[in-house]
Formats: sequence, C-alpha cells, structure tokens
Amino acid sequence: MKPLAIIFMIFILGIVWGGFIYLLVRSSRGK
Amino acid sequence: MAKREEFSTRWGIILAALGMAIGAGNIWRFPRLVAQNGGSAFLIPWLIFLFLWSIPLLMVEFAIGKTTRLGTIGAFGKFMGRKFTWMGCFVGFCTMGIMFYYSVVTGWSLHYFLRAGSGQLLGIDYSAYWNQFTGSGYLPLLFHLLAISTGIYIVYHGVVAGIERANKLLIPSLFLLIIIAAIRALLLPNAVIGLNYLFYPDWAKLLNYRVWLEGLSQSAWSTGAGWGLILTYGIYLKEREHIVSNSFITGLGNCSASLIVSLAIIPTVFSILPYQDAMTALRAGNTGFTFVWIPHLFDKMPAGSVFATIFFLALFFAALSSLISMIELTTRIFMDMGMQRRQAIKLVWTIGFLLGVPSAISLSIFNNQDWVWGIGLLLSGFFFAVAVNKFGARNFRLTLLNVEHDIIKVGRWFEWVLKYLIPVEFVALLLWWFYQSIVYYEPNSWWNPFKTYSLGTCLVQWGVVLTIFIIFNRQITRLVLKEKNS
Repeated sequence: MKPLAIIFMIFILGIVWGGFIYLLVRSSRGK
Repeated sequence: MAKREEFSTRWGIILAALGMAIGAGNIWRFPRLVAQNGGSAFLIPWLIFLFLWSIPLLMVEFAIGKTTRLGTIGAFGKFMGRKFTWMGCFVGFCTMGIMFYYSVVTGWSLHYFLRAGSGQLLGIDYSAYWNQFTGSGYLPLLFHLLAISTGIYIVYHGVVAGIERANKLLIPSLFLLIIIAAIRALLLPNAVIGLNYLFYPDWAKLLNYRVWLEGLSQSAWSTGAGWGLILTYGIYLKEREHIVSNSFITGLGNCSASLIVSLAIIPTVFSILPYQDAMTALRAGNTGFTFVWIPHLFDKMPAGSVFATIFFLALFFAALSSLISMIELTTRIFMDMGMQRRQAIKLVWTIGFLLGVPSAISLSIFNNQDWVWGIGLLLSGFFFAVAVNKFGARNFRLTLLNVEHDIIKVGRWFEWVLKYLIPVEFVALLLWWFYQSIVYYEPNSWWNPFKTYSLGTCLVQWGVVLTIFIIFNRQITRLVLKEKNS
C-alpha cells in the first residue's frame, strides 16, 4: 500500500471507528 | 391512563438508532460514491458534513421527540406552535413516501438473499435476470408484501418487544456479516489496489465543488438526520437518557458501517475485475451495481455463493432495520390521532402495501419516488433548523441538549450550525440537485411533471402535499393535539 494511503486510512478509521467505539464504551459505563 | 412506552436499556435505543441510520444506502450507494469522487478526497467532506449537518440534526430530533412525546405532526405543532403543524406533516409524509418504495428495496434484497442461499443466484445472466425479476410484476410485489409484513409484525409488538428486540438481533448480526465480508475481501489477491484507490487522497478533487455537494448529500441521506425517524424514537427515551452522546454514536456508527462495507466492496471489485471493468461497475447505478455487478463479482470468487448469501443477508438486515423505523414513524402519527397501536398498525400495513405497489411493479415510478422524496428530505432537515431557530438556538442548546448527566456537552458551534450553516447547505443542495435535473437528467423536459427526474415532478408533488397540509393545518392540529393544551 502507498504510505500516504496508509496514513490517511489510519486517520479516517481512527476518527470514525475510534470515536464510535470510544463513545460506545463510555456510554455503556455511564450512569 | 396507559403507561408510556419507552426503550428498556441504553443499548436498546443505541441499536434501534443505528438500525434506523444504517440502511441500503450504506451498502449500495456509499462505496460507489467514494470510488467515483476520488477516494479519500470524498471522505473529507463526507466526514466534515457529518458534524455540520447530520449529528446536529440528530440531536435536534432526539430533543424534540423527547420533549413533546409526539410523532412528527404533533411534535411540530406542539414545539413550534399550532400554525406550524403543516411542517411536521411534510416531514412525516416525506418519510412515509420513502417507506412505500423502501419496502420494495427490502423485498428485492430478501429475494436475492433467498436465491443466493439456495444456490440459484450465481452462474446466470445477471442483467437478464434482474430485468426479468423486476419486469415480472408479481415477484417484486410478493416480496414487497413479505418485507412490509415482516416490518409490521415487528412494530406490532411495540417498542421493547418489537423494535428493541429486533434491532438487538439485526444490528450486531449486520456488523458481523459486513466484517466477515471485509476480511474476505482484504485477503483477495490485489486487494491492495482497491485499498489504495479507497484511501490514497487525490487532493485536486477537493477543489471540485461536486465532491463537496456529493459528500453533503450522502451524509444527509445516509444518517437519516432530518427524516423524523429519530424524533419518533426520541419519544421513547427515558427522562435521563443521553441525547448528545447518542447522536454522536448514531452518526459515527453509521459512518463506521459505511467504511466497513467499502472495505468489503472496493478491494473485491479491483481484485476481480480489470481496471476498466471495475470503473464501469462502480459507475453503475444503485440497483445495477448491487443486483447485476455484485453477483457477477461473487461468481468469480472462491466460495462466492457463501459470500453472496452473506452480502444479500446484510443488505436485507440493513434495509429491514430502517424500514422498521419508517413503519414506527407512520404508526406513531396515527396513534397520536387517538388510535391504539393495534389499529394503527393495521392501517399502516394496508396503506404501506397499497402505495408501494406502483414502485414494486414499475422501476420508473420507483426511481421517480426516490428522486422526489429523497430531495424532499433536505426540506425536512431545513424545517428542523427553522424549528430550532424559532425556539432560539442558544436556548435549545442550554435547556434541551446540555443536560447534567450526558457525557458530552455541546458548544456554541451548534448554534452557529443551526442558525447559518444548515440553511446555507440546504439552499446549496437544493439548487445543485435542481441544476442536475435541468442540465443532465431531463435537459429537454425538466419542467414536465410526468418525467422521472424532472424539476417539475418534484415541485408539483411537493406543492400538492404542502398545499393540502397548509389548507387543513387547523383540522390536522386539532386531531393530533386534541387533548393537549399547546
């Protein structure tokens, strides 16, 4: 894979998947 | 007085909201749009507008539903004042208009899943089969009936035993299926070509205004923001339920599903087809790509029959979970008029089946309805922004969104988005789609209301519906707010 494509993939997936999973976990621990 | 229905757990509302948002568009539209608009370059506007259109409108819908505890019609009448009930009528009717043909799509995916599962899908002439299937009349009709009946059966059982329980099964299964499909795709030879195509950023494309408008359109349609569906689910939120974090989870979860599906489809396309054929496939329309090219791809894959079954089952689950929310929106409107759920659901079944018949037997009517009410959703989204501005964007943020127990607090950006940006986005999108109709889709008859993609058909159908709702605004308001002092 091209390096720029790898960087961009990590950036996009990080925001979308990372944000989704983080909020799911935080939310399920909430009051 | 009967106890008010509400989702039993936070997971219940999150999965139902994800079920509403994740639909056929994530599977048959998003991967093609990414491929057509420069890969990563498209992902940037798509992601930006998630925060500048979709998530703010999801928050607005949740809050209005939770505050008014009424479906779209009653909610607008109660929240904005009785003179504005017609706006809620339009929002509800627009989504109902989509429900009629969406049930047909759900039926198509069920039919293709059953054929794939029984080993009868692959190794045939896919284009001829698609034409034969849609042209047969009775088969799409039968599957439309099966699809709407399945949705009706689920919604009949109510919020917890029906909607919540179904989504607890459908959404985790859907994620599992698309993850399996993505892993399989990434293990194919030359999958890396597709990955490069998907993620290598072509910055020059960002200078093209079409990429931005396509990104905004996809974000607006895909998340279901501004459709009134989340407003309807908002009715069943517990008092202490989180609005802001649930809206972010819904928006990001929908985008996560879109990206997983892209990882399943784009590498497969580039791995199996020569470059030119891959581009032809990705430039096909929604139905052509899904029901002609996808079986063709699976045909050339080892164990293709298994993966075709997985793909069409995922499509069916995605479509069904969205159809459920549309049925609930319609049912809720009739319940606000004084009907019991049992009575309302029978009426929705009858109306939903009968008004879906034209789209089931004619692709031309199907495409026309998709065009008219798809663009109509942009107007629905704008009406929500008008509602917030009438209430006061700052007041809305401080009193309805930033409640003590939510894990996210919304900043002043929300007010800026609702006051200025959403109206500007709405006007830009409306003008752009109308321009497309005049210049590309129906250049010689854009004014003709009987043409599938004309500007005329949009304006006439919206005009008729809006005129009726405005004329009968007072009567409709009395019907839905008869026992409520608002």
